[in-house]
Amino acid sequence: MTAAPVLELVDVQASIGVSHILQGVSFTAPANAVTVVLGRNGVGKTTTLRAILGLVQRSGSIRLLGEQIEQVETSKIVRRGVAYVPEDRDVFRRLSVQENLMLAERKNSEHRYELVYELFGELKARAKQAAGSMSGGQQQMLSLARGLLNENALMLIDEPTKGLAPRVVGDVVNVLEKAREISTIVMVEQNLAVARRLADHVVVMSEGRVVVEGERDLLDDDHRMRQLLGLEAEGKGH
Amino acid sequence: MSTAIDTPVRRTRRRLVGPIVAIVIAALLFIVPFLNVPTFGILPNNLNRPGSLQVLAVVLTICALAVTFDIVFGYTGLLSFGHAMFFTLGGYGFAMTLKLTDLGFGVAVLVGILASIVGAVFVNAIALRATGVAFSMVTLAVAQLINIMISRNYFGSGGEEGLTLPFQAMPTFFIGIRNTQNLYWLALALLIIVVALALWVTSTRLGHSWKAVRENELRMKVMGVNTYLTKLSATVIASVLAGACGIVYVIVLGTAEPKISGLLFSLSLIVMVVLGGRGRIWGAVLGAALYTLLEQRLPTVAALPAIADLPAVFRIPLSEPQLLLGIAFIIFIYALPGGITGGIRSAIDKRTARRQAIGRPATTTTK
Amino acid sequence: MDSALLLGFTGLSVGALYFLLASGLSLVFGLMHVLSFAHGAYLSVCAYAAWAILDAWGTEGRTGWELVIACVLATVVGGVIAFLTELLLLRPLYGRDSLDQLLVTLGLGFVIVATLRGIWGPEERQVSLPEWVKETTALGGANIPNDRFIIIGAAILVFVLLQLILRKTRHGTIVRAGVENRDMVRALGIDVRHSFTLVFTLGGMAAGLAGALGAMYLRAVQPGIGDHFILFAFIVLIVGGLGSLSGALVAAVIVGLVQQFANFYIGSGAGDVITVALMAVMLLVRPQGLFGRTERVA
Repeated sequence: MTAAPVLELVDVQASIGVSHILQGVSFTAPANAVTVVLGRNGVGKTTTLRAILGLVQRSGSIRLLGEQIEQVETSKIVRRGVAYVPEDRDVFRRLSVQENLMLAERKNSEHRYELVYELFGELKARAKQAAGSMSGGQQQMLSLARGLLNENALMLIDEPTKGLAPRVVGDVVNVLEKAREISTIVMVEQNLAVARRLADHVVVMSEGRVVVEGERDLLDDDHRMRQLLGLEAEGKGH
Repeated sequence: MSTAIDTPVRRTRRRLVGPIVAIVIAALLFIVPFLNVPTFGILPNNLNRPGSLQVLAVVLTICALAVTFDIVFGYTGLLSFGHAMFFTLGGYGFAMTLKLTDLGFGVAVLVGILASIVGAVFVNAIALRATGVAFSMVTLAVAQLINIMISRNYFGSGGEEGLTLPFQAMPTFFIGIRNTQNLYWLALALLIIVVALALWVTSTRLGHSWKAVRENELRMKVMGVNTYLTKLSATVIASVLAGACGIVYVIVLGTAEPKISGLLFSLSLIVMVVLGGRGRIWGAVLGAALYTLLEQRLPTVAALPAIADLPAVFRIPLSEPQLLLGIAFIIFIYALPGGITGGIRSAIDKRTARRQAIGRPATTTTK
Repeated sequence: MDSALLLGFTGLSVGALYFLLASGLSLVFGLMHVLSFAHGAYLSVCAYAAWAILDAWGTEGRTGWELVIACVLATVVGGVIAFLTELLLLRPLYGRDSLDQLLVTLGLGFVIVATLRGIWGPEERQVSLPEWVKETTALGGANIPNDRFIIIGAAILVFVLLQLILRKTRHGTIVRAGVENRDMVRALGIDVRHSFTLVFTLGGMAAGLAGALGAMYLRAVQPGIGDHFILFAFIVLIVGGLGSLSGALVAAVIVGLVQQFANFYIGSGAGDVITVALMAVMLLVRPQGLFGRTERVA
């Protein structure tokens, strides 16, 4: 049974200032699956996620759940059921954990606090703590918790394991494996091992474009991966 | 613009239109003191009477100042809230030397210029270390410092009453009602020189680099350009010229008034340039002429019995030029961001495009 | 010693007025990234509103309640014009450069002050106050004019109220988050523009109150009364930090005290010069201010 894809991009262009970063990105994110976006540094992976959300100047066709959203404002897109877990966490540092979560609550959805506290026990204990005073890993948990709080058709996750210690990476991956059961995910990830554990669908970018789109087995082709991703593909198979 | 009917003759004609119009206008302005024509209330009396010439001299001087501000704001994109401080340094440097010492007129002018150069380099070198809003606030701060010092009569700067120039120290051709025309010609000469200099320097590579900084400073930096020096060159040149304008202004008025050091005056330069058209020399002149003329004359017009009897809703806008100018300013930001000259420019462009569309065979493509 | 005490209270009073104006500017800049030149004009309008009320009240039946009413009215007027400004003038410009929004506030300031001057003329109008406000209370050997207590008290009240709004309400939390990272707030599905309106209006209300109290403090109103305070409000804003309410409070105390003490002990204008220089130094050394919270300044 194939459901309609949650997200379809066709020839999406995006600029930041005068830098024309996305030169025509096209791919599809199938429903109930994890689509991993790979590519070297600077190819436009983060910009792609931000373009979907309308956080950068964009043009082209972006369809979310069958509806065009390239002209829709960011907060409206999110309210249709999109969660964003940005690179570098972007939690509100001076607000408490509780306030961070509270802001994430959306009106048209259930707030799954039990699920969140079950997955992220620490956050309950640290409810009143200022988010900025937590470790990187804990902030990442908070960021993911914000993303999982509401019922979302799509989660956009940007390098969730970046800069984290190996043990914490494992915790994050466990959380993501639970997340994939309840939401479609589009995830930018540089860490090939993490990608191998989670990916169903694979998109590889280069210089602002998608160069390869395929399924999970693509990641097992070491030679190809090394070509597409450069030396980062080596040594990440742990 | 490439059209099937463009010829070398037409191109040369187009290039000459600007300078020819400019020379004609300059010539017309030159003979103004000889034209005994009525002005229908726009000026105090007939065109060549001292009252009218005085008003025109003020207008021309402020036009020159606005051109210097356009270099900073319109071309280089730096929003300075204190540009008039250099105008003040020049004018007050001149006035204080003339009044408080007996070094004479020539030295006083020199001191005014020196004060503006020193001020220009010192203040801008520091202010440009900040960027964006911070830069604007630094200019505001320094301008206010000068304003405070003048209003408290520091260093004998005269306080609220200003400094009246001692007429015995002034050259005779600037004294007396009969010589108002000389003041007028002085102001006209200033405007012509400032406009010519501005037109020239903005056409050089340096001038183009100013525009490039306004459009995309990051890209310039990435290319290795020292944008700090670029911005510094624009502000220093503009500030020194503003100082020269200040000297002429004080001569024209016969006194140095503290209001030129005030925040309102600096802010009004922004209004002038936006009304006329940012980044266009003629825009700055037009906007300043409109603003200053209205400011000088509208209250007098509104005091006429015919107007003073009107209901308040008409009388008040007429008696307060800043009200009308402020409203026009706001409307322009929405509807006419290029100012009056921008509006004229796009009207011309539209007409040319229409003409081309008619005159061209269907298969030709433009550009 | 007693002159020091008097100067202290005066410094805290002017600081209180600067704080009221700066609190709005701080939140507006922190969240909207717009420097508002309009709030000084709002102060002027509301100063006139307060003057008009007190003038109309006449001189009999003075209990002190008319002061409260004047302040409340001024606050409401300030809020209303700020609300209308944001809705009608600023919203259409949100896609554009924040420079355009700054320029519009500038233009509005021009228009408002010119209108005031057109209606009431440039002369000063005396504010009619009950006697006990103009009298003094002996404290520690000094005679402190009673208006000082009122002004300082009002500012503290406003600070507490604003902090409560910011910390205890959802809207306030959104504002605090937005000052830190506006894009992330949008990415959580929140339309930040509602917060813009809130913040701009709160700033207008604070400016309105500052207008009423400023009229009381100066005992007179004239069209340029806002300009008198806006410069120092900007200084407080820069020194205290963009987007930080407590920063504005601390800076206001510092600026007010330094200004009054220096003007008295060093010489007329010295305090003004020092505080303005302080702003310039802060801009160059630490542009986000002592407690600045916003993600960018330039």
